[in-house]
Amino acid sequence: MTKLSRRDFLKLTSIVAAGALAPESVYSLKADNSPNIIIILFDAMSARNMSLYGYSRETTHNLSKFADRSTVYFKHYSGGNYTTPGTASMLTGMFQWKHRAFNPGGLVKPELAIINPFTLLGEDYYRLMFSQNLWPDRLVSQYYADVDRFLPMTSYSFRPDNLVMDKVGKDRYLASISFEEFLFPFQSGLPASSVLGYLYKVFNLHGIVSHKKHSGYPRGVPEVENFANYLNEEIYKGVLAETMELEQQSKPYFSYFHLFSPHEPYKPGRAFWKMFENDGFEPPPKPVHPSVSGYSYDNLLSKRLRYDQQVAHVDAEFGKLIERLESTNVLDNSYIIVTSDHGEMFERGFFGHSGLLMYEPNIRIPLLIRAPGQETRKDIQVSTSNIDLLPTILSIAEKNIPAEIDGQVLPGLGGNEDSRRPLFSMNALKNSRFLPITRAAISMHQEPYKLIAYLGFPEFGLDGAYELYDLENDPEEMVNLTDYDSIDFSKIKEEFLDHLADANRPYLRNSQTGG
Amino acid sequence: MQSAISVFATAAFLVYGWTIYASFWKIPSWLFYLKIGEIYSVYAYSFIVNFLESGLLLSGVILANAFLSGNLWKKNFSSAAVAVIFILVGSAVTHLRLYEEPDLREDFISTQLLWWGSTFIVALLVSVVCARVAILNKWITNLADNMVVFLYIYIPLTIVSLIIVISRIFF
Repeated sequence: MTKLSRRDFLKLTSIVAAGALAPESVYSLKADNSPNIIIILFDAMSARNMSLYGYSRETTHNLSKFADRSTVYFKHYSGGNYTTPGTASMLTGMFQWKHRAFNPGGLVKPELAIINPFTLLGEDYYRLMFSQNLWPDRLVSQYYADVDRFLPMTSYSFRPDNLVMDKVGKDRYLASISFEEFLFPFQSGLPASSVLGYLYKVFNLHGIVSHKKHSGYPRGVPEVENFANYLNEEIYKGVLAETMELEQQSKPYFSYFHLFSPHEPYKPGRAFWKMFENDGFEPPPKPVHPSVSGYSYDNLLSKRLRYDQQVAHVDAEFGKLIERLESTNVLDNSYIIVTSDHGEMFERGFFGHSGLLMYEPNIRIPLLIRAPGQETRKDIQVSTSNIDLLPTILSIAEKNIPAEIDGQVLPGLGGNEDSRRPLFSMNALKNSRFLPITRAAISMHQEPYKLIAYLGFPEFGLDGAYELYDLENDPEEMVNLTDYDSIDFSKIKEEFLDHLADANRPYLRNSQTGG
Repeated sequence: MQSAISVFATAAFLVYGWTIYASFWKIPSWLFYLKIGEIYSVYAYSFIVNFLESGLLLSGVILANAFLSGNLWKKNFSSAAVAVIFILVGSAVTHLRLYEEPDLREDFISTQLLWWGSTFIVALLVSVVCARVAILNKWITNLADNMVVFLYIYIPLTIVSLIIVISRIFF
């Protein structure tokens, strides 16, 4: 029998005492004292639309309350402006030009795929993955064997689970491309399977159409683009249920919940669907970006309203979840990481995410980290990136940080504040991952500036085009400093091109040999 | 037996052909992030599904043949079945194409009854015409017989695909 240490004895006593006060508490004593790590990721949550970060609509009341006991990162950026690159940057701790998952549905360079929290935390942790979104599901399937509990995307939704994907073992990612993208496409597009694909589409859409209505959702039930309907209440109950299950593990656990809301289509619940209407909110008009066809200001205003309502709904569900996690003592020994994979934009004639738009609403994401037992708020004002999350997780778990990782441990959790560090975000969805980056929109944050480069697009000219903003004095990115003669611009551009050249160097041979 | 092989060959020609056609739309994006071997593996999964689909179509027409009481189908199984398979697969891919856009998904569902009601009536009529008009019957039977040549490509391809898929999943 294992001998109890004094510390374990005290912990056990405190748990029993807490249990007497809270009957639903979870009684668990982990084999070691390593904390649990829980990532709750809201897909397409822009920091710019959160009252926590100064947005004038009160969209995130509960997250603000949670922030009072967390470390809050004010200038946190995603490595990409849509799910695949944003999530891959977070999971690998690398910039896109290193991990190379920048095409829609793309994968991390195989030799770097072992750099991820699941593999690096190893068997000391029990590891759970649940993504409602196909792309993170596929990214994690590259190291499927290192996930102890891999929940189907359809979990806690109205849709039955996919029968095929559990049977393909370690070939999950290629099977995902074959089945979920090609033969029986999840999102839009023609099924490459004419007979079974047709039947599947009928079954799939019939399910969505028949579950479209719900008394709690006046605008219809939320859905993962043409694939599965879900109720946010059920999803969050699912997250709680899974966490309670994890609490029964004899070892610490790492769980990554990639939750689809507030991603489009915006379908908030009844309590939120009229929220903020006629509140007189008017964001500043901005020039239409040359790469977009252009939604009108009023149209964008109405889409923004729906999005803000959806954010408020997500916030309410999160509030309930945290309350339950607190009452069951989960927070006592768990790091809770709240973040997103990319932002969402309602300006410059554009709505949604991705595209060549590397503006703040599209890439500035929330990051809140609550350490076990943390009771006070800590604000971090220096720029950080989601590539910093993996090294921070590894540091929390006292694991080695591989040299390939570009990110660094976050300030406030053991890392240093480094305002001069350049942080990159990129959209290179039409650039081969085997070749140098020659066709991309890339942003470089280096306080107080932000440079945006458009490379390889004919509409921006052969030499590319640049924008430079002083985010300290111009947070809305209205004054492009490249229009003025500026020494800073030349210096920043030169530094950016140096970084790009370094990133491209390993691929130059491929481009000379045609890949 | 020979008729069944011809009908299977026709079904295979259509379903494998559709998959290969659909892949032309995907290859440019796959080339951005998949290696040639990986692209072939995607085809491997697809060809196995295609083989099952072809078998399903053949089973469907054999079942229909068993239930249809008239001698017309039974005597001219090959031409009638081939005509029906052409119409069914053609109808499915046309319906998919017409309602491809996500905005049209509710129309895709709501037109099912009308679409397939009409398709089955047309398929039945065409199969009767094909069976009754001797020249048409002969032409379709010949066409189906000639389709068998494609099985010499598709069957080995499917066997190789099966080996690839099994080895990828288990080894």
